[in-house]
Parts: sequence; structure tokens; C-alpha cells
Amino acid sequence: MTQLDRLSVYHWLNAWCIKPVGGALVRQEPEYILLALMGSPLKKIMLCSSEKEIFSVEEQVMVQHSVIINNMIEDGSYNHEESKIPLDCVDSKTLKKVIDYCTHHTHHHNDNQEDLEAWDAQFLNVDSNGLYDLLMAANYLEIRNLLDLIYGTIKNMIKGKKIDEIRRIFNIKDHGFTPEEEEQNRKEYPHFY
Amino acid sequence: MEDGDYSIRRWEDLDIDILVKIFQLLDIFELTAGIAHVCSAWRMACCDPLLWKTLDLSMLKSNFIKIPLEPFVYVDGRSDRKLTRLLKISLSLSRQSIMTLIFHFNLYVSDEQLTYTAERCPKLRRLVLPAWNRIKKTGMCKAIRGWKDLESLTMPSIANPPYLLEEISNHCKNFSELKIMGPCDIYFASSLVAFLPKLKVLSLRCSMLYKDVLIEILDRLQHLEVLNISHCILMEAVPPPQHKRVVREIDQSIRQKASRLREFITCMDDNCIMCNRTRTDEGLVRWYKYEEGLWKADEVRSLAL
Repeated sequence: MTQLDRLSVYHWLNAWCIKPVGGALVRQEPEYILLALMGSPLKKIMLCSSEKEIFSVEEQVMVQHSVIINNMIEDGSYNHEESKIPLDCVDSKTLKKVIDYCTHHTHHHNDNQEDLEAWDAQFLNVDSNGLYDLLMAANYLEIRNLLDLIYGTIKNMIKGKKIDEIRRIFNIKDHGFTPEEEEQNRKEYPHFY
Repeated sequence: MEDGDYSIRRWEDLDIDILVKIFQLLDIFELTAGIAHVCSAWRMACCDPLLWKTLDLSMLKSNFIKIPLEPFVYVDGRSDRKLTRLLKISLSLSRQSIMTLIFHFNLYVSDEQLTYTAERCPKLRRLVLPAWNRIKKTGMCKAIRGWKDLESLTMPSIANPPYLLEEISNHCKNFSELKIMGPCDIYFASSLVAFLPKLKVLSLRCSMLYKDVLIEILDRLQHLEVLNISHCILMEAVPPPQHKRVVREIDQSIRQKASRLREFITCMDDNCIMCNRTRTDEGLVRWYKYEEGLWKADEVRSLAL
């Protein structure tokens, strides 16, 4: 079953308040679909942060948002009984936020646009370090809508600002230009600085 | 990447693909306002070809006044310099990757600006330049000579088309699509037949069009696939005292000739706003009177902006 099919089936089953059995939908045999339709307890998966902290989260939530996690479960490399997914490049604080985002968007996907946007704005009300960590995590886990949201936020932080201010906001101490280049740029475009 | 408050998040080391995705959200003014000077990694991202496939300056107009002598417009110096600065930075960052270039109908590009731009867009495929008032024949020819890959041109109506069409014919082997924002007379039509016989797409929308010109085009442009004459005032010459009259509908013989085309797009409707406007403006639509961006529309998908 392709990723799209799988997600569509999840959404369909979710709409009918039937909780799917995690890995069962990977295969299409009728008895597995029947099992899914008969309902089963909400399947959870374990995510492990770089600090070795374990987070338990609904499989459905992560599968809907993270292409990486969806692929891992789809290709069967994740065994529900024993494994946890190690995310060595995401710390606990960031992982918790990512899970928060995915969970909210799964459970509230029928909310109106304004409310969702307000929640998103509040969610991204973090300092530049936090934003960077979220960007790295969303990129690694391939969470499309979170990435787009972060790109938009960064774009708003950049536009209309002068170069010195941008460097301050993003803590860019080493601009990588030679002193001559930097001086030349400042002379040629003083109004940008 | 370690956690903790001591580790530094190096925004200057962001993956270039991520930076490019963020910069794609900026408009041309924001993109050229110093982003490329923040740090060397950001400059590299600013030069990514993905950002420069199209340079759309259609939100920029000249600050000008109309004058009774050639070139019939006078552009304020500051406005000119602003365009020059914008072109300079954009063309420098674009590193010759621009394939589509779009200007507003009230942006009166000077001859020097055109030459400067043309030299730095050798891969140009599509040019939308509705205002040629300040451009000399020599300047335009020089530009065309450098655009070997030019396929599509949106231009104003000009009095003496042969020089231009011949240049295109000699240098732009893939040229196939033309939009004329203004009337196409018999001289223009026969020049098209002479120099661009392989023309595939032609849009003459919202202008005055004589029936004999239409017939010439349908008969003689053998490779034409798409012809758009929407909202045109179709005229035909008649004996004095009228000399000319409006043709109210497209007759069967024309439809027959047009049947070989893939698309023959027409609109001659008294209830159509655009048809009425073309009539009010006597065949030369004053786009500045109407909604912003109206001029960009075209029933031919590849010509719409």
C-alpha cells in the first residue's frame, strides 16, 4: 500500500471513529482489514530523544505528519512490541514540541482556519534557538506543514530588516566575507545596513 | 547536534535547500534588499537558479509624464535610477539563469537598461515588454541577437515591424509565440508571414482588427496553432462615405479557414465588459484606467501572467 493509500485509509477510519491496528494496514489481506474494522485500542509508538527520553505518542498522529516515521512503519522496520524510534538529532524539549504540533493538528484538523492559525502563531512564539531546533527537527522528520509554517515565520523575521539587525536576530557572528568585501558592500549599499 | 544552552545555532550554516525555500517566499524587493550580504552562505542561496527562473518586475511602474514629442514620455530620474539599481542587483544575483522577464506596461525601460539587462540574461526564453517608447531599434536588435533561446514575446504594436521580425527570424530559432498589445495592421501581418512563417501562437486580443488582416493571418501563417482575437473590434473596409464598418459576427468562411487551428479564441459580445472597453478605447485599450493586473490576462494559457 502506498503512503497515500495508507493515510487515506487512516483518515477514513478515523472519520468513522474506528481506530486502526498499526502495522496491520501495511498489508491488504481481508482478515487484516476486518481486524481493523472491528476496532482495537489506540496504537502508540515510542520516540526516543537524543537525551534518551522516551515519548509515547499515537502512531496515527505521527504517521499523518512525518514522512520519515510513516516510512519506517510502512516498511515494517518498526516493531510495536519492542522498538522505539531513536531520534538522535532531536532533543527532548524540541521533540515534545513537535509531538505537540502533530497531536494538535491531528485532533483539531476540523477547526476553522483562524483558530488553527492562532494556535500556530502561539506555538512558534519561541526564541531563535528554539526556532532553529524546530526547523532541524521538522526537516529531519519531513513534517511538511510544520516546515512551511517555520519557513513563513523566518521569512517574516527577515523581510524589511536591515542586515545588521538580521545578523543580530539570527546570531550570525561570522559573515564569511573578507574584510574588503564587507567594506565594499557597506560602501556601495549603506542603506541596507 | 547537541542540546543545551551553550551550543550555538549556526543560522549561517543552514542547509542551502532550506534557505532557498525560505527565500522563495520573498518578493523581488525583499530579496534584493541586502539578504545576499548577510553572510556568504545566504548569498549563495540568493544566487540559486530556482529563485531566478522568472524576474517579475510587473509591480514596478515608472514615474513619468506624457509629452507631445518623441518618445512621448518623460521619466523622472529618480524612478529611472531605482529601476537601474534593482536591475543591477537582480541580474548580479541571477547569474544568467533568468528565463522569463516581465515588465509593467507603464515601465518605460531605457535603451541602456535594456542593453544592460539583455547582456545578463543570455538564456532568456520569454520577454514581456509592453512599452518600447525609449528603446531604439539598434538597442532592440542588439538584445534580440543575444537571446538565442527566445520563444515568446509580448510587445506593443510598432510602426515598422520588419527590422524586429527579421532579427528574431535570424537569431531566435525556437521563436514560436507572439502577443501584440495593440493593433495588428496588414503591414504587420504580412511581415509576420515574411519573417516568422513558423509562428505557432498569436494573440491580438483587445484591439482593432481588420477582416482582411485576419484572413491574411489565417491563410498565410501555415504553422499557426493558436490564434486569440478575443474582444477585438472586427472591422472591414467599405466604400465611402463610411470607409469602414464594424463586423458584428465572424462569418462561416472565416470559421472554415480557422478550423485547422488547434484553438481559435474569439469573443465578440455586446455584454462583455472587455469587448465594451475595447470599443470605448477605440481599439487601443488604456489599461491604466482599469483594474490593476487586468492587462496580464490572456485566454491563451501560455501567455497569461
